[in-house]
Amino acid sequence: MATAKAGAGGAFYLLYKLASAQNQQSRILSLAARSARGLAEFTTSILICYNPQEMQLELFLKFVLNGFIQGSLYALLALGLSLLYGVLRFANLAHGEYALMGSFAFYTFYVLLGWPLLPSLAAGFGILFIVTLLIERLTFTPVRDAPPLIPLVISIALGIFLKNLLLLIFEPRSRLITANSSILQITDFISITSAQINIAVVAILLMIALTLFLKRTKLGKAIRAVADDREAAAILGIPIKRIVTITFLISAFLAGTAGILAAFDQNLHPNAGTAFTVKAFAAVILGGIGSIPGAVAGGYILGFAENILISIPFWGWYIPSNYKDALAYIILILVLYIRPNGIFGKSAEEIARK
Amino acid sequence: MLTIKNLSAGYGGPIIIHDVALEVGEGQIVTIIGPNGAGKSTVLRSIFGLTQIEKGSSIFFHQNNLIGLPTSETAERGICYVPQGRSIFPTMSVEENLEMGAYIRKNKEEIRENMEYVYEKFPRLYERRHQKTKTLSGGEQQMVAFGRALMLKPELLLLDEPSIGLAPKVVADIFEKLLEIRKDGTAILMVEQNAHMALEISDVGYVLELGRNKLHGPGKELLQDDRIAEAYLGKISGK
Ligand SMILES: Nc1ncnc2c1ncn2[C@@H]1O[C@H](COP(=O)(O)OP(=O)(O)OP(=O)(O)O)[C@@H](O)[C@H]1O
Ligand SMILES: [Mg+2]
Repeated sequence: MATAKAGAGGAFYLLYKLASAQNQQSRILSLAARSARGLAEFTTSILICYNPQEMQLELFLKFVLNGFIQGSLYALLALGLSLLYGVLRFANLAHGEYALMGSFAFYTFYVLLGWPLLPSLAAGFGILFIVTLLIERLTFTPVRDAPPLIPLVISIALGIFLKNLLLLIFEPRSRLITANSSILQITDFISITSAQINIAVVAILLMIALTLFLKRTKLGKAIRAVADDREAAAILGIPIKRIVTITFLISAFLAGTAGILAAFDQNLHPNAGTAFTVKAFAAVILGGIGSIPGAVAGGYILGFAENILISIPFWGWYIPSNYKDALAYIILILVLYIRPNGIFGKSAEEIARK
Repeated sequence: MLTIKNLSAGYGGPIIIHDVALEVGEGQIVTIIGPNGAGKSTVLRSIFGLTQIEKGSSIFFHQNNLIGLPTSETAERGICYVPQGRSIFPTMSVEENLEMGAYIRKNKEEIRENMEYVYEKFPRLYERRHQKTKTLSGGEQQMVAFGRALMLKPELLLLDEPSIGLAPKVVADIFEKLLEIRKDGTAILMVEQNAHMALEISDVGYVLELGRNKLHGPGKELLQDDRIAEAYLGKISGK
């Protein structure tokens, strides 16, 4: 049920984005132009991608590596989304914007003001945390007893608001933090940048840290208890409000870290939040919403699927790389067809017990 | 120590219980019986701030008014509550459930001692301490719910249908445990469908019907009462 609700929310958001993009021109004309262009691109990409030779091992390995790095980033994004869902039972569709707030706050100190790395990180996260607390007080706290559909819709509006705020402050153009990113050449063909190594290493360390935190500490266990049964937790004296606030902060921290790591590796545009949200959302659904190992698995499956499938020939044909995003969703649909609650998802029986 | 007077409460819609009065003394076992939907659970939920309470109601625990106290601060007053349907944490282990029971306690040594007390009472839980509670049997889950509430060494324990869905042998065990718990200094207020066994061990019984007090009296006396025998004990009156 909850998954279906969240899914409907996501679909609504996508529809909204499509509609607003088309508003700028006459809809029919632009639709016709798009179809024509799409058809042309499709035929050329197929022509280019026909390659009857044997699979190139190096190419394959390169994409495995890319998939791993991309997957680490998705997993990090998915973790925050999934943790918050577990406690509050709604998918925060502004999650990508939290990631961007982290990276743009950091960017301001690190690049625009020229501060050193560590103070910039501290200041960037400081701002992210303050904004997170403000948002919670102003938007989510007042509706804390409402059904989860309400905060879900609020998060859609919040995402749009934050995106426009970022556009206003930072102008609609891409930024890249290139600071001394060195390149490690593995073979003639395969290389990896220090920014990419950072993504994988930091993501994995944070996954381990989060798991230990949730399993070993009193606070972590209390978060799991609230996720399991909020009323029972309150009865035992666990302060629900404080646990919710802490969960928002952890979720923002994970998203912000992903945003900052990504800013060293790829161009970041104030518009990029939606893409982050959608990828995190897909990873979370793939792994089973609310499940922490599921979020990690979902992130990596998505990262690998996007990259590896375009590197292997199917009867001599390659899938064009510009269909990367579409592929991720085909995988998503196939997995959900076999396991409707995701790979690590709760069974229908468990959900019914709630 | 617990005194409820003129309690009227509901869930935002119609008022479910009207002017309920109830009293639990030190070290007593008190049972509420009544038909399904009478509002028995609503009385217990009201004590923990989980209902909308009407003006003019009063719930006092010792000298403190409980009305308006947030749910998560009620336990600090020394009351624990096992709601209907157990409500344990299914994805957490037995031991983690017990730890959460002691969430508001600070002294690690005392918590450990208390955990030993619970394991002593329920050796079965010790055997399964690392198992996730969703994989336990119904009886074992009820033990977890119990044990978790005992982790606070409460002065007063609220139990909503502790015997529901359990085999007669297990029910007898549970009721025996209740007597032990009382001996260790905890008063008990419970709701039970198993009226006969519950009244047998109760100092006082209350009958609730249609959200109102019907009658009350010492447990043993209620057992002899024809009206109760007919409605709740499955006996035909006059025999
Ligand atoms: N959370 C709730 N929201 C709205 N109405 C409720 C809620 N819980 C109970 N009620 C209503 O309050 C009335 C009394 O319910 P309550 O659970 O107190 O009865 P009960 O005596 O415990 O019954 P049972 O023996 O079946 O457990 C019922 O009519 C029920 O529909
Ligand atoms: Mg009930």
